[in-house]
Amino acid sequence: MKDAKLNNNREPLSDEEVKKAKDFGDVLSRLESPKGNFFQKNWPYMASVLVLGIIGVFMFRGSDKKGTVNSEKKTFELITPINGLNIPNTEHKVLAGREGQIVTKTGTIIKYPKNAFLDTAGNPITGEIEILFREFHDVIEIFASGIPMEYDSASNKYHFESAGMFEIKGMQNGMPLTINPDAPLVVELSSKQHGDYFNLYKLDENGKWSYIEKDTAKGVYDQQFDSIGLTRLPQQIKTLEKNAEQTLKEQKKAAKSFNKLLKENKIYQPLKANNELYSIQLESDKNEFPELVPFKNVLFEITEENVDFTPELAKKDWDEIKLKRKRNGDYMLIMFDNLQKHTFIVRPVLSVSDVVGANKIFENLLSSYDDKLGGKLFSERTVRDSLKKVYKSISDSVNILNNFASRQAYEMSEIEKSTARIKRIFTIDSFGIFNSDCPQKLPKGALFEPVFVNRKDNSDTLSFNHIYMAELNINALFSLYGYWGKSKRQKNNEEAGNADYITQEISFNPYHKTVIWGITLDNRLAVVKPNKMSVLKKGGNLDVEMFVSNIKINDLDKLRKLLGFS
Amino acid sequence: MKQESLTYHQSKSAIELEHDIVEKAKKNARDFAPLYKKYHTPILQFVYLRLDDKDVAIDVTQQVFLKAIENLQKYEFRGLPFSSWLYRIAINELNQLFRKNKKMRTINLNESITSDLIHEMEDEEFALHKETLAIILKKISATDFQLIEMRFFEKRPFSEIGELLDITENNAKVKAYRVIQKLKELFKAEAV
Repeated sequence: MKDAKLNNNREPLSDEEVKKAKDFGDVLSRLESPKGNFFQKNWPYMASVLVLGIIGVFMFRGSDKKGTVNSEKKTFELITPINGLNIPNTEHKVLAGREGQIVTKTGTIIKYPKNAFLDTAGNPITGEIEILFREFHDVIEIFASGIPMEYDSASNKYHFESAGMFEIKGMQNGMPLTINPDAPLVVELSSKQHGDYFNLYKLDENGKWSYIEKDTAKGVYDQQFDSIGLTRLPQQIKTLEKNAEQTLKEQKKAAKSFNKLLKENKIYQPLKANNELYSIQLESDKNEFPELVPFKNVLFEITEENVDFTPELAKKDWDEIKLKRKRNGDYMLIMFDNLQKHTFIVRPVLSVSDVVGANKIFENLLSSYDDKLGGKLFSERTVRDSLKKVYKSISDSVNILNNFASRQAYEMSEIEKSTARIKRIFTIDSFGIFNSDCPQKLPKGALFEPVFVNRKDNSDTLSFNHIYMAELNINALFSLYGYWGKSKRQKNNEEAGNADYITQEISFNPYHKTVIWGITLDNRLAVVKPNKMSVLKKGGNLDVEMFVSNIKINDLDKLRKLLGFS
Repeated sequence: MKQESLTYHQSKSAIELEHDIVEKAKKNARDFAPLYKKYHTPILQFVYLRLDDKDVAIDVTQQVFLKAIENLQKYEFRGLPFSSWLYRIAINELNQLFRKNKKMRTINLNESITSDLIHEMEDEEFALHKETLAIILKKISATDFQLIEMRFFEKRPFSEIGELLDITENNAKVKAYRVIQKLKELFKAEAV
């Protein structure tokens, strides 16, 4: 600041001056005639930039691993960093001309309306076409694909933290297709990243990302549950269970009332014998028990309340066995001899084979009973039976819904294991590479200038044009371009030491689990794993030992393991 | 003129409303007018604080908005006020200007700023040598001074400073503390 001018207690701008300076029209006019002003002010600067740019192209061509522009095809062609390792396309055959959708293994949905596809001349096409689709969800997939992850926003360089990317192409008989701008596709990309701070981008033909719009994500569970009302299901089940409980209470009350009426009027409704209880065959007095007269083979079942009963008591020869009716209508069995007397509560029952016929007899008798009671019997029974039906219906519904919910929960958990909870929604009117990302700055906190060496042989210095860095807790791939490696002197002179190693500063966040790797200029994969990064936080000029892999990497899981992602 | 204070931490609805205006302005530059009207004065004050020439300050301010409209397609909504992006453009424009002509950079002190800074350095001695402050401020780097300027001249909270300088809030606090320590040492050296 030594050249800075110093003012003390300078007068601020007056309101008038501020008001006068506020002129949006002036900004618009600068916008509309930029070249006049811009070139007039900046021609020397521009000329020097142009010269330097040309020199730059000749010096550094070949060291840029970001991909190349195919000007004939007007596409950006990716260069994969590891030969033979890439994310393959999945081919989906669909009929153009009709609407439909494709669902991928990750749960991504590609919806296409009618007449969505055109040939390169812009004519709608029909018939079978191939949609080639591939997705990139984690750092390893992004790295393997060679898709650039840098973003330039108003001269600020960023790196992308990704919520998912995809590439989509359309072909028919080997010829590329385009998308009808009036019938765009909707891609609901499955995403494992939560958060609403992502934006949507498209990779243009120059390998630059263009901002499309803010990401609108939706939760898979909510979407699927909502479509069949499943988010409301637990509440529905709860309400039904409550209804069932209430109905059962009422049904029991009605049944009790009906039974009481029967008992009070000494009307016997046939009951099936309980196989788990003991019953005795007795001849009852027809005059004392006229209600039992219409029924054959009536047995008397010792009820559950009789805790003192044992079958031996029934087998014993008793001096006398009597059947009595209590005031409340219950039947009593009294067995006694000189020494003991036993009283048990019993109920008249019929065997399985006799109860069917007995019920028919009862139904025939019921009308005359009902007439005597002024219709009360039938009405009580109707209430009891209709409540029973209602209770059964509600219980069945509850069971069905519970089973359905359990099944859905199981299926959802299976989906969650293999797919994502979030879908990121893209409306696309062209094929290409699309991204849901958030721009991030390079991690900061520690700064070091590395000399990269082989961990197994420190004299083997490693050279790179491109270093990759990733933090294991976020889905961002940071790309560092430059040159780390032997100087010309070191290359030519075996005695030249690591002091002749050309290096550049690398910054990282020492509090985040970080991995650094690169493909050496002689095509070896070299890694600094997360557990080796901590020593680098001391900063400065450091020998950085890298694990160098000599094996061919031909699958992503192998790569993930090598880089410490699994 | 009253110092217009723009609340940095605007309400979510205000930020979203700005986002809607930005989206419209992407299609038609004339729709940018409400944002120009809202932020012109604070941006002008920001720029003028760092310069001595009113006309240059006005011109740089216009350039900031011009750059904003030209690059609006690259603007991404990150849940923060639009102003943070404008301030960053302003910082870039000013840096470009100062690279060409270092003498345009101006330190605009007043009683209040001087007192605050002296107070921050926590030494009663310094209060007796206030005029020394101007000398030592010229001895620190432009980056360090920028931090002091935002904190003590403009009274910005550290969270805002972090956003404008693209560092964390904590980092801003640590750096500010280090700059103050540096000023203390320079003060002592100068006083001797």
